[in-house]
Amino acid sequence: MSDAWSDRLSEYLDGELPPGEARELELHLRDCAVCRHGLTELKALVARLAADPVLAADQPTSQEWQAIRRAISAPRRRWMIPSAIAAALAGLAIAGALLRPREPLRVEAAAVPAVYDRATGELEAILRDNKAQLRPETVQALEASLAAIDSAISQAERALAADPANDYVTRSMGQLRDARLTVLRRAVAVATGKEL
Amino acid sequence: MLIAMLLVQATQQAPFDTTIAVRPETRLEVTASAGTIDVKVWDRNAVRIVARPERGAQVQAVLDGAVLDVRARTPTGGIDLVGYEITVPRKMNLTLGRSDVDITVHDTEGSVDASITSGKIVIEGGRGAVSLRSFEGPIEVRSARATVKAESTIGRITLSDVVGDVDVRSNSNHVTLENVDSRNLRATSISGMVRFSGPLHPDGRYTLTSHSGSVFLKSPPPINASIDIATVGGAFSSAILHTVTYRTRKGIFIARFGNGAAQVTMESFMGGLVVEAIKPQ
Repeated sequence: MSDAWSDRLSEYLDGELPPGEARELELHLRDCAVCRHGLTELKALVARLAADPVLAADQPTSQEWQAIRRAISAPRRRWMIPSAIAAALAGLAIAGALLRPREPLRVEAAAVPAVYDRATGELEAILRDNKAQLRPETVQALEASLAAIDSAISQAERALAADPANDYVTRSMGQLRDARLTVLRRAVAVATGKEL
Repeated sequence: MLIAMLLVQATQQAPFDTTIAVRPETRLEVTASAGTIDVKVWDRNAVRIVARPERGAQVQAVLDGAVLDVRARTPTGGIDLVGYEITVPRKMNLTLGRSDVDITVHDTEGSVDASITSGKIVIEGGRGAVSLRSFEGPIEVRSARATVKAESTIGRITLSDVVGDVDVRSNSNHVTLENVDSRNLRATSISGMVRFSGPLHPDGRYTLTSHSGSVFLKSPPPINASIDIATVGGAFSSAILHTVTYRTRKGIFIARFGNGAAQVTMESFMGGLVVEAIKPQ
């Protein structure tokens, strides 16, 4: 199902294709439903991320945008798992902020959950080390909050497995991961005496 | 730069009371680890600070350029526990916080930026832009004409009798918007309920979402709105006449009420989605 144009969609969206190639791609799009679908998904993802108020204050750099788009428009497997990638990406900008200063970000399908896991893992470790600074009732409320989000993420994962192309579930997954990172980040700020 | 500095060492239990002349553009910043910050307004270009420090805290008020900075320090570097009563020019901009503090602000017309970990934030009356954050304390805004942005990690958020744009989020508690008149409103929770009551303006956009909690919309009849519904394990319910246009799958559809003018999004992954008319008094 792969073709010569599927890896060029991101460049096209960025206006980086030479005019001749852009025209060729546009002709190709008339006949190729897979590429049309891919382009639509790319546009929708960019719009969703740009419109998300949580992410608006910490948008990915232009380099990261490129990486994100290329990860999605890279080999055919994306059409099998675009929703999973998109879900994870919603947490990516915040994860990136957590890890600054950072190396140039390489976003591959398999690496996105790893970035999220690394970010949450680091925050959880900091929180464990500083938990004694929080009041017992705060710890209790925090753990209840995280448990609720984890339960919600499990629900979303099950729903996504059953219906991988469901945009609402995909978006929810991203928002839940954002929420978990935000809660952890806020808790770490409180425990370490930093501003919210 | 002209720097005026007041430093008053308050003995334990003795109140700190000073009045400082300020310019209209001066911002007040109050930082406290614990205690209360109560702000009222008057029609003078001056700030009166009455503080009741405890545990040997030393209160200081420093006017540096466009900022009047008020904070307290303890000899041992521990938690400064202070009760502040502050009177400010009506349009003064305020930055208040930041740890275990109860903050109450009455009738200001400047911007209010308040941040706490625990305690509570109450904005009563006034107009302007308020930006409020808490980790676990509740946030309340009452009887205000204001642009309200509020976020709490664990605490509840309640707005009542508010006119203006609203963007509020509580991760794990309820969000209640009672009699809120807005044309641009967003209210979000993960595990709490989201309740909104108020008019739906034809040019308005309203987003009400939760994951586990139910979402309630109550508006005076006639309701004219196109409501984008999305749910997975929840259900939509309304006794008001409407039409439904299904989109891609079960649980994702548009419910159209009346002429469909207002644009509304209601989402709950697992909870109920309810649209009701407010009964005439």
